[in-house]
Amino acid sequence: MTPVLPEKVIVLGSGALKIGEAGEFDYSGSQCLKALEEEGVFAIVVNPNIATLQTDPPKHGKVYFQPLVPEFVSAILDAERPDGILLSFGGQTALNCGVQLADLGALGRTGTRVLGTPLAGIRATEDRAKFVRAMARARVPTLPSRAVYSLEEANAAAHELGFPVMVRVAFTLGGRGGGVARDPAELRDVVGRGLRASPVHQVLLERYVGSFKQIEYEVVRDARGNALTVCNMENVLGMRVHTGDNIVIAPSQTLDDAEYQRLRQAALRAVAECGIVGECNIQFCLDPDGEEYYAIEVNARLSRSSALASKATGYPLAYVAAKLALGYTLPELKNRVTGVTTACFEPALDYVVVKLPRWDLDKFARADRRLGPSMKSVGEAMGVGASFPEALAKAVRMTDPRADLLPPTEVRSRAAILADLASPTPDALFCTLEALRAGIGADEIARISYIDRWFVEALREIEVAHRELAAGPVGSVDGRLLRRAKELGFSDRAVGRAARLDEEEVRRRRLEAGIRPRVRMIDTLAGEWPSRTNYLYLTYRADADDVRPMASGSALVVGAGPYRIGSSVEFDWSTMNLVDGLRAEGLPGVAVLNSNPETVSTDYDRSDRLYFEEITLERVRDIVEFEHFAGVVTCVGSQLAQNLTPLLTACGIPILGTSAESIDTAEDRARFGRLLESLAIPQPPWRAFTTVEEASAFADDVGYPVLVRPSYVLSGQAMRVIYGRSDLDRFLSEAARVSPEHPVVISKFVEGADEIELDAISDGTRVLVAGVLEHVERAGIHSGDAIFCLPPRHTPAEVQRQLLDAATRLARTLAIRGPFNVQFLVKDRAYQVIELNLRASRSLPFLAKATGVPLLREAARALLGSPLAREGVAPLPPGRWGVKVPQFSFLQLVGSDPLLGVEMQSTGEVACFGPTFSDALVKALVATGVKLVPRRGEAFLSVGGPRLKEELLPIARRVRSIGLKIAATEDTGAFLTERGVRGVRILHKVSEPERHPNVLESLDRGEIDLLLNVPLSLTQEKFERMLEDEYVLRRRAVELGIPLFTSLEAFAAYVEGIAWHEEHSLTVESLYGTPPPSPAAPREVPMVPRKRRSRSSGRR
Amino acid sequence: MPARADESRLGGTLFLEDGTRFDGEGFGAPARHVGEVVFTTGMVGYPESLTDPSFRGQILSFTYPLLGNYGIPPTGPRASDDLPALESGRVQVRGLVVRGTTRPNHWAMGRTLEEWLAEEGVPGIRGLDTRRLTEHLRSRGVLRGAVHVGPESDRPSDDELAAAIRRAPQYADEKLVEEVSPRAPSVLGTGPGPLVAVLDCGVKSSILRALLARGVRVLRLPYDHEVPRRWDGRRVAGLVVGNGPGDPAHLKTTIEELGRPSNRDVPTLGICLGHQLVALARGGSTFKLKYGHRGQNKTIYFPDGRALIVSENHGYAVDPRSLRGTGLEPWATNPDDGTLEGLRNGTGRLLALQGHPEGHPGPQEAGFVFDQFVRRARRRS
Repeated sequence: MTPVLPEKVIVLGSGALKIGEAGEFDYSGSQCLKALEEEGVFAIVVNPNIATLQTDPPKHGKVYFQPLVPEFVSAILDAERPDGILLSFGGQTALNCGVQLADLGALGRTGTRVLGTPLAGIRATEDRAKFVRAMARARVPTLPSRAVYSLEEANAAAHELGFPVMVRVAFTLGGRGGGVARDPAELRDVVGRGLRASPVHQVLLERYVGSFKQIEYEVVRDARGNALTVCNMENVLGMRVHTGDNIVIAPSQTLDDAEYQRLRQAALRAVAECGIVGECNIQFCLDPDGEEYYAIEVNARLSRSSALASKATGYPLAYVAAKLALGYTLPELKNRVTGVTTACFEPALDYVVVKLPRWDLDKFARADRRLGPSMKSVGEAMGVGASFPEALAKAVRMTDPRADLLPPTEVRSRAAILADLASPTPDALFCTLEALRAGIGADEIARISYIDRWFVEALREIEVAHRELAAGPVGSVDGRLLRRAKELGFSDRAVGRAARLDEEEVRRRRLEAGIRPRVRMIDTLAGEWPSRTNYLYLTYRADADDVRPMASGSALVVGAGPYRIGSSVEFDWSTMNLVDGLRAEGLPGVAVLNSNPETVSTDYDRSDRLYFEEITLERVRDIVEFEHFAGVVTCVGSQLAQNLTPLLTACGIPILGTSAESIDTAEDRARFGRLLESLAIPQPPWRAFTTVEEASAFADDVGYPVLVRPSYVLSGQAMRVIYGRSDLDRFLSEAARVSPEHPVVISKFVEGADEIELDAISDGTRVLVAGVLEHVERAGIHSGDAIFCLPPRHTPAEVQRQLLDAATRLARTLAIRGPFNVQFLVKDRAYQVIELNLRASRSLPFLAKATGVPLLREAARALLGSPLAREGVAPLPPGRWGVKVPQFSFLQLVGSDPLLGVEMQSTGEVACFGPTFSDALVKALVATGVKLVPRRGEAFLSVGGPRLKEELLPIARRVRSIGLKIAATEDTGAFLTERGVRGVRILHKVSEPERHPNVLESLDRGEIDLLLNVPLSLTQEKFERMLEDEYVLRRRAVELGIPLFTSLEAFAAYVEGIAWHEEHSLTVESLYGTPPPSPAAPREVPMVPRKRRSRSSGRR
Repeated sequence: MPARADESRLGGTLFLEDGTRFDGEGFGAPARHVGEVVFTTGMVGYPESLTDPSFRGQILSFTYPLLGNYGIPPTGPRASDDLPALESGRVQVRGLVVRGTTRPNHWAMGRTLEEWLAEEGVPGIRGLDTRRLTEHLRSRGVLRGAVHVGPESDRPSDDELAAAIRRAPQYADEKLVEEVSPRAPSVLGTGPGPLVAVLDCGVKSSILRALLARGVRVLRLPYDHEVPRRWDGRRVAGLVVGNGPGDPAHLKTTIEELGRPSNRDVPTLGICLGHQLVALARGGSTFKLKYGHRGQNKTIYFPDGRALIVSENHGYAVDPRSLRGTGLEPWATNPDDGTLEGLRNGTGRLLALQGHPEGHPGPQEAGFVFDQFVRRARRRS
């Protein structure tokens, strides 16, 4: 029976990708939109995340690139008057926004009904006290806990509960700000940080159960009360580590039927009590030595875990949740995998999946590497296999294609290993293997690491196989052992590393022995019913393929793998848009290869065939040898896929796109340099060196600063701008290695230049320029961390023409087929090329949406050898400004330094559009959580060195002229006062806490609303204390949520934005199909508080 | 998991009556058994499945690829009720087929799966492609087969195994219920609640426990025993027919006893085989499913729109058309193939479910049928 459907609904997205809220919500949102489209419901998406697929032009709906805050969303509600709103597809952001909208009366006023789980249910899961009461009614035990509002209360509560205690911060995601306190000193730290991070100045102290198992269930429930658990999952590192940072296996492995059912029944009772309609996740902790268990939390929405569960089982949770929210009941829905069986069932798996997080902690200076209750990973991969070792080994290579799940060759001391086992880091798996190799018993490992011995025993299989492979005579490998190693997930390379054989030789021998992986279906019901699914994985524990190869002439598109710093949802957007383009161009079949469960591209009905597999040469060859694809596309899956191009070409596998030869020309510094010379295209002077002395001499010659790019990095960031000789020596000796095998490339760093990017598509002759993007910051900030402006604000048309010309000549010379991206420096109307990427870039979705030109459709034509249907520059609608702003997750990464530089650190991005640069910028900043400084607020300015101070002066004057107050350090303050800026309040340094007023005090008291810190670029010892002071300031600003800028240009743009916003309202318009709004629109969305809040009430 | 050296000498072979052969590694007890080969899709609860008397006479393959993860809990009688801790006191399957086994760890473990099978004399085969086997059984229907575990160096030939299958009795002809039914009546429980008779065709301990947990006293009768009106001076206030192995139509005595007019007034609960037997007793008919329903993820729909997930293990089903004129009505159905999953009479005095409301392994949401049944029995006592 079809329910009475709403005609028009609003779907809230989750905004920019951040730690704790990433691409999984593009997947859940897209599935939701698919369900709405099927039902003919007009869907209005609100999501400023420009790189998502859910914000592509809809067939029947609208998209608002607006901040997900009540002020904007209520304006949209007023304008659109929808029948309903869906809050459970955009993570915590959407849920929080929905609750705020309800509290403000915006839902009631506009007659907007919450679809799915009603608000009362959401509140029962979000409000701790309500949750505890609801669980008690459902006879589900919860851990003893106390809500506290101060350190004194925390001390009392900890005393009562007993150390260690778990500290949780209310209303945040990804365990942000929380932690474990083992003693009163740690309690002071963690509670202090937590209270600062909590919007309601409240933290929760809870009994700590780190040694318990962490088990999750995904539950769907319809409005009639039918409910089932789609999947359960076990966290290998137990309760000690946040599930987002945990190694997760589905289904659970160490639970017997009694435990499985006890938790399952508790889940169903809990979910019924909360009145969930749709999907939710419930988390339990379970005593590994007995029957005790507790419910930790219920997430009344789609989540990272639900995305994983969908991919693990093939059950489309978000799609089903959307249908249930529309009023369907479970028995009314079909299982989309079989097409004949009901969706009202619990999937049975005949494989296991292992999720492994991808951390990029090395990219963050000073970030704490220890894992705990606060999530730190930026992405994840999912390995599918017939055993835990096989799935895990896959997942390891998926998260890092250079890694293999092998014990380290050198074993550290027992004490060092035991210490690491007791305090897990991203290396926990390798540490366990190392412990096994060191002869530490499985029981001892399990006792210290809280990893269930079952998992340790499984890792031992790997350690044993490795030992046996290594023990054999050099150059030989026993056939049975080889098969066993492959079944345990060893790559050919890993077998080779252990047995001292070349990878290629291992492959040859195993194929000779008939050892090859088989193609298997993920069909939701373990083969019990025939299914027509195209969702596939490969395993060595099988002796037949489940499918026949695709139609001849089909192609494989290689996706981008796990999200990580530098590669995230934008590449999934490119992958799927290209798949759609290739299908539209009439290719008989398009398959997708990807390993990331948080993506839309791994939604099996978005392509003709989905291989949920490793993006490695070995696996691509396995798949191509089975399918005989006509071509493989590697230009949309970020650098990960691009890196395969030469390897695949060398194996004789045809590439659709630019040739490996051309790619090598662009990526090899020397070849690229010569190419630019031959085309008379300017470039900064550069050279590669194999000794520190030569490098140093070159730097002296071209003059500092220089950009240094080592090819081998010992620790920390790979690329750095160096301002002096001593810094260069130190960097090359301490952080990098310089040798004939590991050359270092040094180029002149042009200071004060503008950085411009150009994205385009080429068919080898014709070029379609997607757009010319100007960085707001000057060169020196990674393009992934820079604010982009479209169209360019400063670059003269004549220079733009020159850039187009250079790009066109490069495209023709290199016979580029498909998307490419050129990065330029422009200074004094002269340009230099600094980089050429022969693949889809991060900014393509932004340009495609801003211009409305289907760029990847054109790319598909080029890849297939057809001429582009259009060329020239994709036109931007007149009067439209687009601004892209990065999203940072520094708060989540305890200790990380929020200073921007040449290494990328952002985790996501948003873009907003408007009639002026300022309108779009202010909205985009708000959308990334940057607060707008209140009227008569105070800005704290701290700028290093005389030249920067000089540049600060006009900006500081502008700050004063819009009525803001200025505070500054002694140096900066004295300079400003001397140059006539009045009323500068001097605050003493962090390192001089005895001097008042002190800047840290001032920050903590909530007196400062905005912070600018551009530190001196030198790292000489005499400045060390000052630099440390500034780090503490930046860190504190992040923890307090105070807007922080570390570049003058971005700060100036922000100040101009505030000034503009003083006079104008921010526009609220959907992007597609509407003319750009006029800037004279009445002020409808007052973002700036009218009155200064009272100081006595405290900031947070 | 791969072989450990000391065990690698055992080979295991599964040979099907249609000539399909699967070779793997043997474990458990070296032996050769012939039986009906069936698969279950359950992902947990192998100790419960392996001791479920309904699997008597069958060779069980698990679609889930890892078995033995948490070992086997102590299997002796539980102190609280003197019933076997698992579903019966021994391994009931004739052979176990699995893709892989693992090294177990669990606080409640008594011994490993391998040790248990060896002690119980049951052969196991691992390392074969169970998905291929599942697909084979799915498309061909249930087949008989021989499981053989012996020295790897001396694997039996196809002919030898085919002959063994030919010599063995047909599944339907075997007197399996006799093997799992008690010899004499006994009374369980000391509760003040009503006395309920259980016609035991191989009833799972969990069904008895589900009754005992609701305060009833259980009179456990052999499958071919008469249901007395009173026992030890107390009225028999309810009748339960539980699960058991084999073709229900062969249990003539039980069917006759259930059909006796005096028993028709007694509140009756049928589960699994019992569901089929009560239908047969009232004139309905049963048929054999192509490959059965075995797993813990089965859905049953009720006429009021409610749907429940249940655990199932059955190879036969009641023909819903045969219920016309029997006074029984269909109650629950399987949405995937339309088979009957539950029936009742007009007054609700008789309730029967094809699935297992007691779980073990599997969900227990359908446990409300025990409550309904016990309520009626209590009224009658």
